[in-house]
Amino acid sequence: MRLLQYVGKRLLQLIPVLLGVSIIIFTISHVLPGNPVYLFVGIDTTPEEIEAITKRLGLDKPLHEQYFIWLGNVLRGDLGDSWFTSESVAQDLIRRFPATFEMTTAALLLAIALGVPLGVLSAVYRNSWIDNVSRGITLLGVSVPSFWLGLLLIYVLFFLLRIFPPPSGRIGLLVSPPDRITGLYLVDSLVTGNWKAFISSAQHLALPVITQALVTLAPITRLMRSSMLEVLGSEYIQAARANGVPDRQIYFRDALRNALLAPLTFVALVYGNLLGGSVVLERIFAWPGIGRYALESIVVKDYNAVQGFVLLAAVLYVLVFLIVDILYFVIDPRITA
Amino acid sequence: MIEVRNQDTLLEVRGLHTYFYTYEGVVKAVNSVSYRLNRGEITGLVGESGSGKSVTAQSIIRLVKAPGRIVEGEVWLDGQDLMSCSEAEMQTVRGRKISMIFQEPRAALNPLFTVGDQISRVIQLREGCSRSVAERHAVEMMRAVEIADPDRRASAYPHELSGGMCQRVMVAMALSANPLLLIADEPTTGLDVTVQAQVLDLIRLRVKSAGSACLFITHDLGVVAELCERVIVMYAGRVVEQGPVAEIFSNPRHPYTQGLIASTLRVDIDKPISTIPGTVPDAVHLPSGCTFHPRCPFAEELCQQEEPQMVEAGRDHTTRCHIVSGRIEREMLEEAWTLETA
Repeated sequence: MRLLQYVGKRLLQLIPVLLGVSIIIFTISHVLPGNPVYLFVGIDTTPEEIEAITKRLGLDKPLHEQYFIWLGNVLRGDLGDSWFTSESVAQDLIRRFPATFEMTTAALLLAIALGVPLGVLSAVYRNSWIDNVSRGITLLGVSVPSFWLGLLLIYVLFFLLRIFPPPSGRIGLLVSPPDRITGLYLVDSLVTGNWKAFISSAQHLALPVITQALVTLAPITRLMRSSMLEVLGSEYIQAARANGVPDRQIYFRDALRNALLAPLTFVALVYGNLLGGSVVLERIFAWPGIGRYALESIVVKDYNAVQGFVLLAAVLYVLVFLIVDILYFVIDPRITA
Repeated sequence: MIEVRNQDTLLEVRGLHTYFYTYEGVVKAVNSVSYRLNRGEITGLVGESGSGKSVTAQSIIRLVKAPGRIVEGEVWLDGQDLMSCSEAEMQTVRGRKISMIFQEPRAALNPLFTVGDQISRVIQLREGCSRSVAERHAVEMMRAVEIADPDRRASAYPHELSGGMCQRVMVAMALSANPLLLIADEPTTGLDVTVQAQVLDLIRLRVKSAGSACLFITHDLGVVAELCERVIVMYAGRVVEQGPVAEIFSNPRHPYTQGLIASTLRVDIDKPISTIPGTVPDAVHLPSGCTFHPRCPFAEELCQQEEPQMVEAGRDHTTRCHIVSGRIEREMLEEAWTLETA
């Protein structure tokens, strides 16, 4: 009940946030130098023709009127057409987003699954061998750039050892993708029982996911360690010990839940960022996600596509933070609706 | 030395040394501390901040935080040497034979669990009973420490309760064990006066009725006078004086104890409040000889050179001072303290 009330309140708060985001995105793309009309005309176009096109595109109207027209279109799901792919931007994004979502979510889950226990262990066994190993891994993770790590993994795990397939996208060239239900290959192939597609897409996911996970793992582990150390040094842990609570319960019941609070915000930040597409990794692994789409659109000045992408990335960010706020609300009774 | 083991002795601490190994050097937080606690008695442990009171308590239950370490010493509880126990055995001592009440009740409760949860969890751990039985017991304990409407309060989180209420919860948790020894580390600091009195009453009542012993750590001599039978005075990691409360208050022998008493506001005597000059010495570089000599109005050369031994100063009353032991012939005048006040 309390939760529903909180979620409702937070959803209402999203409306002004998203309106603000839309105004910023619209304004930026309209104050940028350059007249988009010239993208549609040739060298020998007459000024009358230019005026006609300007009128047709609605660019002669006052800015606020243009904004409301654009906003109306956006709300109907019309983000305009990409003149590069000559398809609707919304369609383009819908087609590509699952690739990004599948990769980043898998990478983040892997990073959490490894980073949280590793951070907890290095805090509990501070300065032991396990802490040193974890320190080594995290040092590598923060200091090695992801493109280099990606290339290295491709070189070793594909080229030398042939454990994983070449970086040729989401699925083997000779394997047909599963029927589209969610757009997530792993889910779709599982649901349709298409084992061949499942195995191939899992293999293709492996390298980009490992790369992304290793990079993300490092700060999660360090944060988890320091947060856990702080909690373990707190009065209430000392009090629990003084009450004869055994170590295992101290770590996993009393301390962990408290220690998770700080890294949670960081995870949200990372996830929000990653969902906007990792331009570098998507390029290295020929991953057909929205990061690569955005990059290609920027290069060819495809304004509608860029605008649509930025809007999607912003909405995703806001949604991730909404989810994290709800999680905080569930975990921490001190947060009130 | 012949040990006189009193039948009533519950806890005996012998030659306890707890050191902290810091970058600046070794801090001798507890330095050769020995004392006894008797059943049915509340013993006050007093001293300024940093005198080693809390570390003494942490040493008894062997929960000294790193970089601290118990270097040597014996702690006998009811015939059991706690220093030679395994960690697993210690876990059965903590929260069963020894309970502890902390200074900051709100900080000592886990913010993410309800208070009922936290009490019943400790009960469940100890008794091995079912959850519902433990929960009922927890509510009973909350009622016993006079928490109004305990059924409802049990499902409250620490942040939803006042500091006094949280301290009652801690007291309920500590007393639910019927411990042999209750250690209360400044349990009334930060509580308002009426709540303070109520919490003290609770502790006194339970200790007396259960015949357990209580080590009551405080810097408030008024509370000691009111609550305790015996008092131990610590200064810079050492016990400088100990004895029955009535004796110590009427006839303090160590200059530090005299200073502490002189600096306490008393309503029954019209006298100015004095302060002890100087501050607690730097823990890494303790003064030579008697650690109190830089602040002592009676100090002489010997005090800088040689550390005084514990000597008898009265019936069941010992202190650590060259003047009391007769090594230095000098009178300690009470005026020395009032003169110090500006």
